[in-house]
Amino acid sequence: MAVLLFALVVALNVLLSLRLQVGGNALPPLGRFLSPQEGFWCAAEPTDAQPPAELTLRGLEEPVQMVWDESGVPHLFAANDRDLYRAQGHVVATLRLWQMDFIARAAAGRISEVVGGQAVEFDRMQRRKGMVTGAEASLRALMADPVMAPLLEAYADGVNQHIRGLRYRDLPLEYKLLHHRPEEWSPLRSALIQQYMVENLSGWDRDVEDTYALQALGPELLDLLFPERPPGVAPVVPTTTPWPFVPETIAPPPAYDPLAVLAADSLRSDPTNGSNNWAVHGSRTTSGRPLLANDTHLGLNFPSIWIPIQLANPDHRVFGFTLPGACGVIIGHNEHAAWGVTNAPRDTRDHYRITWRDARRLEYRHDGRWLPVEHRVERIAVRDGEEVIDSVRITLHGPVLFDEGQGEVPQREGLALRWMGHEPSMTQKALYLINRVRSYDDHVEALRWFHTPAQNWVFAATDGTISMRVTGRFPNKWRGQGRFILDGADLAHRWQGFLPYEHTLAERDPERGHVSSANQHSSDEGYPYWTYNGHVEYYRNRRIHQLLDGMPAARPEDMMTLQHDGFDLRSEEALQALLPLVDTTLLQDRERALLGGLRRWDRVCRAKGTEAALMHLWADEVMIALWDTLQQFPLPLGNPTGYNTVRILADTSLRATVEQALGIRITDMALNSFRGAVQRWTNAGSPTWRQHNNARVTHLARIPALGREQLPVDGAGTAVNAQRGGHGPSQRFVVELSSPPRAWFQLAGGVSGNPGSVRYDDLLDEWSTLRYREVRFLRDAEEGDALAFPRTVLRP
Amino acid sequence: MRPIVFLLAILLPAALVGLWLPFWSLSIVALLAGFALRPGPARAFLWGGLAGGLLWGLLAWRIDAANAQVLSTRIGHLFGVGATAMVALTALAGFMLASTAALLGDTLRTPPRKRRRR
Repeated sequence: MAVLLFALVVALNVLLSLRLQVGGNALPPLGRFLSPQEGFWCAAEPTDAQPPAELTLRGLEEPVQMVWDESGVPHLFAANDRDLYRAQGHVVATLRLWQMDFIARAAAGRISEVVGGQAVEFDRMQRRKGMVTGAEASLRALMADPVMAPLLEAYADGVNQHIRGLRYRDLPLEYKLLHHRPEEWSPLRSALIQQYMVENLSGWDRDVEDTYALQALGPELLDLLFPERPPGVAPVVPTTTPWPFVPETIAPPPAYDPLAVLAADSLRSDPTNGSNNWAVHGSRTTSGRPLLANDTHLGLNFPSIWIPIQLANPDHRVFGFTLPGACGVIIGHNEHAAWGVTNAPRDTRDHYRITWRDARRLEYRHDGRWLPVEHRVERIAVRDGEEVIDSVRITLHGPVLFDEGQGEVPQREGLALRWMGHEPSMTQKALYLINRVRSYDDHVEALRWFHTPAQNWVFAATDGTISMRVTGRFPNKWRGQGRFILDGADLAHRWQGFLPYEHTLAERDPERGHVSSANQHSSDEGYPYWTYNGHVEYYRNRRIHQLLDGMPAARPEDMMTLQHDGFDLRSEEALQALLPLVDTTLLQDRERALLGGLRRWDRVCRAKGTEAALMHLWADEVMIALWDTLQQFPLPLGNPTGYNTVRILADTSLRATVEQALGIRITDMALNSFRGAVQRWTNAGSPTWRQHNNARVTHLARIPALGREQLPVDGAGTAVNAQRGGHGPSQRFVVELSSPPRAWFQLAGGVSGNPGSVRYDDLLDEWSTLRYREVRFLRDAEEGDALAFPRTVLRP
Repeated sequence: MRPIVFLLAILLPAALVGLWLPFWSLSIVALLAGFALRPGPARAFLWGGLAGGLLWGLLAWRIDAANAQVLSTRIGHLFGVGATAMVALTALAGFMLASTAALLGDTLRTPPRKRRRR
């Protein structure tokens, strides 16, 4: 009996200590997990929790004052830079340790260590793409900088002091759920998070698709369906006067036939990652002060990607949004100026066909010689599984993404990737400098260091200046270089240099009284360098332009209303093109009534309305009906853009060309696609836009219980309020450049990364409305005391 | 010996050692109490289990109330149950860990054969 009982007790304790597999999901060790003294309950913060009055942070030269405002935003007041960033690392770790650890692992291709074999292919591609190589290159450059090196070290030390003080019971919830431990922080891991953003914002292209589209469709049809720059676009920086520089010339190859090189990229970032920003000159605002606005569209995740924070020391005082792992703020304002970013789609990734000497693939041809290939061995540790070993071939162009037999399709195999993400980037130094700008000239000098990912920087200063600058390090390309697969054997196909910083696309105080960007084409044909990207935005930027043009006396609340604008210009233009094509006499009564509803609809995608759902289904059906043939090739060619599709539908002669080339009747297509959309919408239970769009915020580890769905949000992917499913404005920021500036913000989530805190998602409900929180831009910690904000003193 | 004494002899030390030791410390305390106090098998199981269940249940309930069920609602989704059920589930785990261990302690001290003779 005693033996049996002993066995039972031991078995029970062991069972509750194990990570059990139930229905394909790994449960955390239940005894530990359920224990109120060390398990998940320890993450449950009292709703009235107060921060500690004092904490020890070794290595500080002076105490750092940390004030917590009513939104849970930390405001740090330090005596010098090193103390400031040590404290920033520490507070960011207390708020977001699991998130920063997980993203750094994801960037380095080390997720299999946490979740097991299901992530091996993800990890393999991260490593093949050279994510760590790029991060290491940036780190070497940063650590050679005498200003940045000690600051990055101090930040990492701040994070590590938090990690070292953690017992199991103190770990963030996700470590307990996924049953792993935090890893020591280092400046390399900060560089990896920057690399993750570079990949997120520039990790896609259409080079392979365009090459095969050229082969399958010919140059004329390619130009019609996938034009470089269709008519009617409004670039970020238009050419208004001759550019004040002589462009640097480079030698194109004497003859270039992209098809001659024909013989990857399975894990793409989302090419619709984008954002809006703009600034309005004081001559067009009620207060006479410039206004600046920025909202960044990313995958909406818990914990929120951004952390609002104020940082201050005797040489500057800045408020803004930082990313875990970054010193300083990225988007924000100080006492003199405000700035914000949107992604600048430019071609910074090219694919090279490699000519191997023989089947062993040890040497490849370049410039008339055979060069030896390097091998990089990657060892991927897999939780509960065997280590996976991968060998990556490295050429002088870059790594070969897919060896033979590894690609989803053979067309992607044997191509080497050249990517700006492999180049050293001093972006962290640019952030350090921009946090301290006092003038437009400071801003221009700071951005000299901003290398990747390319961004449209909007800027406004209290002296009245507004500007837009398409910032990043760009390869100087001959016309067409890198739109198609390049020949790795040809010297002239290599990147031959970079655009001089002085030749950056930029404008300051333009006559129209505003600047704006929303991921559209950077330039027009007047810019003397060739720029290209296959994934640009066509609608938000024109809508913003249109509304700012009609705003002679803008107020901050007008900026907020514009950020929430749900008008869908794509639907407007698509309906203008499609409605005349539908023969309504052939419709049934219900279909006719629904079409009438779309005709009368004001094109605003409202959560409660149904028109947007039906219209988006119709647009989907049109794309399928028109372009399905393009997906039947061995390598799917992708769809022409919605903008170009509407351009074709609206033009009689272009329609005729497409009808002839693809063998379809456009009027039949318009009718049938509408009927198909009505059918789909009816079958789905006639959903509202809220149900159809399913605006949601998903937990980074895809744990459904820690996310939120069906949020009541207006807007659509092609509206200024770019809410599309799990993707949308991750934050919103509006600044009035008074002295000192006043600012307002929204965040899609909360400041805390802890699902057991009310601050995990307390800002989300406001985010879906027009309610903004005013930024507390504190002069000093005593101002926080006067407002009865709790204060934590970090002491050495 | 009064059952309440036995219950407190587990609950209080377990609450204390649980501040430093992992969850299995509850079983160790219950085992030692069962061994030292010999409450008899039925009492050991029932009152030992009640001690563990009460300890974990009360601690969880207190945390849950202060947290306005923010976390238990989320974790409940994960387990497919409601927020309050997470407190119950926690109490049940505490009950199981303590009851079986207390019974073992009692049995080790007074094997069933001896008990019958006595």
